[in-house]
Amino acid sequence: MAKLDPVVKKETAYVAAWVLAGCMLIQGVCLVAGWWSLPVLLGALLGGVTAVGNFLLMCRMVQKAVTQTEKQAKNTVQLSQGLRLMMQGLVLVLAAVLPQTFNIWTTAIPLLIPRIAITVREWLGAKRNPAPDRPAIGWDDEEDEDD
Amino acid sequence: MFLELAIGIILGGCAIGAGLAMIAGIGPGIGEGNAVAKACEAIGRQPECKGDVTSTMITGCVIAETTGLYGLVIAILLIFVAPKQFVNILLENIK
Repeated sequence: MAKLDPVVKKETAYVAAWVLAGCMLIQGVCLVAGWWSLPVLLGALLGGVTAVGNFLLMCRMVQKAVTQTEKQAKNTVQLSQGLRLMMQGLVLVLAAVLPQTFNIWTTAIPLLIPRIAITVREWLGAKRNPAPDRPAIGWDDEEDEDD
Repeated sequence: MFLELAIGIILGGCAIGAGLAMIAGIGPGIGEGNAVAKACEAIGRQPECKGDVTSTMITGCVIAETTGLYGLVIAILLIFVAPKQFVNILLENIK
């Protein structure tokens, strides 16, 4: 097994923390609303593990792809994306055909948490470190440059 | 006769909807492939920025991939969850 890059470890830990928090939030909401049952817990566990596993596989794919040539990297990414989408599809189908064991909604929601985690981090990062003010390049300036 | 036709239309509509939703799964693969190819090119030019490029790539891949995942979730729900709900609504309205 290839050694994980520190960047990959850091990103995976961040996403795993968010997925854990999200799953706990789902359990909390279900408890308060009175919908909680064992399938809700098992569904959240299945969805959470799949979300983190998918993210880790994606990070490993990126780590591998950046060492390859352009064409190889493109093929690796497309193959990996297809296989990971299929894996997530199988997990969702499993949750759908076994409603007594897994709740489909609590399985599906954790799969979308990594996107929320990344979006929130980008948003907070943009707020903390705003882009430096640059003088606006107007039409006249460009004309001057051409001259 | 009418009931069977209505159920058939519901099932057909759900299947067509699921198929259309899965079209969203094609785009992210192509987009991610192009992005990683360009990242390889960038690292080839400036090998010292590999860490930054990898981090940015991961962010971009997550964002691109979730689009396909939305389509997948909708397709699975349309196939396994929606038909039952729609048929129940139909039967309740007929009664």
